[in-house]
Amino acid sequence: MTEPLLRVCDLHKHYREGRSTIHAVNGVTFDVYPGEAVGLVGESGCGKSTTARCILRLEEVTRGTIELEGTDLTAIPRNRVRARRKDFQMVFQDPNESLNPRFSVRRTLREPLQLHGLYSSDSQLDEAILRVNLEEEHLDRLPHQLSGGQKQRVGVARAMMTTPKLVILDEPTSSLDMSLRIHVIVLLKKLQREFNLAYIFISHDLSTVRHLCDRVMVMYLGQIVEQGRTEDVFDDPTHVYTQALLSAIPIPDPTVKRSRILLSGETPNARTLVPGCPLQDRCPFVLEECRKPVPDYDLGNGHRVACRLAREHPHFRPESARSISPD
Amino acid sequence: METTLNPRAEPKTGRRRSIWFRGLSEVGRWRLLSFGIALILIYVVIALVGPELAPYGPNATNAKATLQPPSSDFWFGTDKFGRDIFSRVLYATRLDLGIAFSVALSAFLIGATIGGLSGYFGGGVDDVVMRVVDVLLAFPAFILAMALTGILGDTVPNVIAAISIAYIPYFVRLTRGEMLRVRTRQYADAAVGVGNPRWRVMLVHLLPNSLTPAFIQVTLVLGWAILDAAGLAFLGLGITPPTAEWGVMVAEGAQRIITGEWWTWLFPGVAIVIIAFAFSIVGDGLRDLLAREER
Amino acid sequence: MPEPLLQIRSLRMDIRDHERSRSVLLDVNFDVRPNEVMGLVGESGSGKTMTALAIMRLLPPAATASEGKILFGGRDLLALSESEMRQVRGSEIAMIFQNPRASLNPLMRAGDQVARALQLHQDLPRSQLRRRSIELLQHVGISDAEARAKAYPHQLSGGMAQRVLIAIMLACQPALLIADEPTTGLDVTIQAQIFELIKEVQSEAGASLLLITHDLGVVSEVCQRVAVMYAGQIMEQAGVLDLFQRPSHPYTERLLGSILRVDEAKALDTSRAIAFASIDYDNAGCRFANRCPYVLDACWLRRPEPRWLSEGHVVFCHLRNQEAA
Repeated sequence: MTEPLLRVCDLHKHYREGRSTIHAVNGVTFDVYPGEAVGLVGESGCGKSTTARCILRLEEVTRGTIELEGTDLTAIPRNRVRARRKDFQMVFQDPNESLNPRFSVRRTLREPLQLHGLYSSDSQLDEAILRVNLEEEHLDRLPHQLSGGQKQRVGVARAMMTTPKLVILDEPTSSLDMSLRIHVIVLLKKLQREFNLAYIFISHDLSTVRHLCDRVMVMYLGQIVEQGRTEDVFDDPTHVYTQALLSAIPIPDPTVKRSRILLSGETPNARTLVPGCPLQDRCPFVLEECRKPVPDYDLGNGHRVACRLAREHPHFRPESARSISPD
Repeated sequence: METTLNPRAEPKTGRRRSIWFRGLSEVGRWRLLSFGIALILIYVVIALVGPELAPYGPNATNAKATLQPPSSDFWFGTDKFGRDIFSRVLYATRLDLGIAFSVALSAFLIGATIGGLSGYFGGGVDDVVMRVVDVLLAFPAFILAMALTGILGDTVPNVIAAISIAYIPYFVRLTRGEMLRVRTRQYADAAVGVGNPRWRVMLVHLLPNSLTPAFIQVTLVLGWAILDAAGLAFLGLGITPPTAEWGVMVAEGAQRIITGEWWTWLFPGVAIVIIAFAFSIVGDGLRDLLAREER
Repeated sequence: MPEPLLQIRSLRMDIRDHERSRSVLLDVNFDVRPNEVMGLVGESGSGKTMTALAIMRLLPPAATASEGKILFGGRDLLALSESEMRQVRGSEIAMIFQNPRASLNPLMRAGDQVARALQLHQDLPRSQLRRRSIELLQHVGISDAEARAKAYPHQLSGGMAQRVLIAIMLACQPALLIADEPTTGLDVTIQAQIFELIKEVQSEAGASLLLITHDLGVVSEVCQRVAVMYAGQIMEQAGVLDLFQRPSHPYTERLLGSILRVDEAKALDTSRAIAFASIDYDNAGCRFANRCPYVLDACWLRRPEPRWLSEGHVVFCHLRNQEAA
C-alpha cells in the first residue's frame, strides 16, 4: 500500500458564538491516497466545507492534525504553509465570487505560477486555458465577460496551474445548470487522469459524487457517519442517515418507485453535543443504545459505519468494532 | 397578502437615489452627467490658461477706476481698489481648484489606506481607528476645518491640510466598509489559496476592489473643498486678502451689498456655485451609475 | 376532458434592456387542468419564472406582456385592472417562491401572517383566527406550532419558513398554486419533506399546482404533465411518462442525456449531453438551433409547427415534422 498523500487525524473545529460554542467539526479522521477522488458529502451545516477550509488553512484548527506527505500543516508557520500551497489547491463553489473581478483571466492564471516561481512564458497559460476547453481569446477577458460555466472552468484552470497533488473541490458544480454540470464533471475526471490528482470533492449532490468519486464519506453534524468505496456506500447504504439521504433524492424516471426514509425535523444546531449517535433525535429506528457512544463498525473494504444497523449487515465482523470517541 | 407574495420583497442593497438624478430618464441622466463634466473641464482649462487670458494682474490696482460697474473695459467691474474682478476671478480659479484637488487627493490617499488596512486586519487597531473616525465625524467637516486652520495658521498649505484632515474620516469609513464586504468574498480566500502572502491579498486583490465608493466620494469632496476653502476665507480664516480667491472676494464684496455694488460679490459667488454644482452632479451621477450596475 | 383551469395562449413577453428589447417568452401555450400537477421545466434563462410572474402579473417594470392571453376561469388576467388582479392574487392564485424567508414579512410574527391571510378570506373572530392559524401551522407539519407562531421569519429555518408560506397559501384556499423552485437551497432531506407536504396539501385542497423547477427528478416524482421550456419557447409538452420514455425534441432528449442519476453508475459521456454554448434569443426559428446536433436549414428560418405525437404529447421541432412528412 502506498503512503497516504493527506492524513487528517481527529480534526476538531469549534467556533465561539456569543456565549455558546458551535462544534462545526468533531473528530474527523480520514486519509486521501495519491490519485484518488474522495467525496465528502452531507447537508448544509454538517461541517464538510469547514473541514476543507481547515485543510487549506483558511481556518485554524481547534484540535487535530492535517499531514500532507508527512508535514503537519497545522503545526508549521503560515509562510511555510504558503510555500506548500502549490501542492494543494482549491476550486471554489461560486464562480461569480471566486475570481477577482479586476483580474483578466491571464492575470488570474499567471499569478499562482509567479508566486511559486514557476512562470516562464505565456505559452503555459495558453496550454492551461485549452486544457479546460476554453480558447486563447478568453485569456484577455475579465470575469464579467464570461458565462458562469466559463468562469468555473477558469477556476478549475487556476487550481491546476501549479500541478498540485491534491485539489479540493467545494461544490464546484452546484451553481451550474445540469446541462453544464456534466461537462465540468467530465473535465475534472479528465484532468485527474492527466495529472494523477487526488480530489476531495465536497458536495451535497450525491449523483455527481457517485460519478466522480472512488470513495465517499458521509458527514452529519461534524462527524463522518459512514465511509467506504462509492459503490459500497451507494448500493448498500447502512447508516440510517445515508439511507435517508439517498432515498430523498428524486429519481428522474417515473417508472421507478421507491420507499423513502423520512427523517423527522431538521438538523439540530451544533451547539450542544449529545453523547451517542448524532442522528438520534431524527432517526425513525432509534433505540436506547443509540444514546451511548456508537462504535465504528467495519464492513470490509474500508466500508465503515457508525450505526447499530451495521451489525445486521452480512459483511459485519464483530471483532472489528472500534469505538470512536464523541467528546 | 401582498407582502408575502411579492418576489421583490427582498431587501434592496441599492444606494439612495441621488437628488439631482431622481426622476430623470436614461437620456436625461447622461445629459446631466455630461453637462457636469463639461463644466468641470471648462474650469480646469481656465485654471490652466486663465492667467494668460486675464487682461490685468490680480492685484493691479487702479485708483482712477474704483468700484466701476461691468463695462467693456472691466467685464465684471472693479472693486474698491480698482482691481479688475474678471482677472481676479480667473486667477482665483487656479488657486481654488488647486486647493480642491490637493484636498481630495490627499484625503483619499490617506483615508483609503487607513480604511483598507483597518478593515482588512481588523482587531484592536480597527476599533481604535473607528472610534477616532466616529469622533471626527461627529463634527461637521467645515467646523473641524475651521478649528484646524485656527490651530495651524493662515497659509494655503495649512488650509489644504486642515480641510484634508476634515475629510479623511469619510474615506476611512467608506473604504473600511467596502473592505469588510470584499474581504469575505470567495476570491479573497482564493487568493490565499494560490499562495499569496497576506499583504499581497490586501494590496493587490482587495484594496482595488474596495475603492469604488471612495472614488465617487472624491468628486463630491472636490466640490465641498471649494466651498470650505471659500467659506473659511469668507470668515477671514486661512486665505487672507489681498490674495485673489473666490471666498476672499465674496467677503470683500459682501460689505458692498447694501451700497449696491452687486458685481463685487456676485461674480466670484457665481464662480463658486457653478463649480460646486458641477462636482455635485458628477459625483451623484457616478453614484447613480454604480448603484444601477450593482443591481 | 374537464375545462382547463388556466389557459396560456400565445403569450409573448419582451424585456427592454439598454434600449434593446428581446422577447424572453415567445408563443408560449399550455394549460393547467383542475386538480393536476403541471410541471414547467427548464434551465436558467428558459423563461419559466417569467411565465409564473406573468400569470401573477408581478412582472419587473422593464417587462411587458405584448401578445397573448392568460385565461383563468374565463377571464383574461392580462386585461384585468390592478385592483381586480389583487383580488385574484392570493385568493384564487397563490405563489410560493424560491427564497421563502424573503417572501415573508420580516416584521410580523409567523402566526400573525397566517391569521392575516385567513382574515382576508373568512370572517372569524380574533380568538378563532388565532386558533385556526395554529391549526394550519400544525397541519403543515410544524411541531410546537404554538411557539413557532410567535417566531419572526429570521428565527425560522428555510424549511420552516417554506412551511409557513404553505400554511398562508392554504389559508387563502386558492384554486391554483404556483410553486417556483420551492425547495431550491433546502437540504435534500428537507426537500423531500416539503414535496411530500406540497403533494398532500394539493390533493387535499383539490387545487391545481403549477410546479416550476429545473430538477427532472422532482418532475418525475411530482408532476402528471410537463412542459419543457428553452429560451422562452416551449419545446415539448407531454405526460410525464411519455416525456421520460419517448422524449421527442432534441433538447429534451439531450437534457435527459445530461442527467447523472444517483441510483445507477453510468460511464461519464458528454456525447449525449447539450453542447456548451450560450442561449441564442435572437434566432427567428427554433432558439435551440445553435446547440442542436440535428439542426436543419428550416430551424434558422421559422418556428416549427406543433406536431402531435399522441394525446397530450406535442413537440415543436422541424426534424420531427420532416420525419412525419
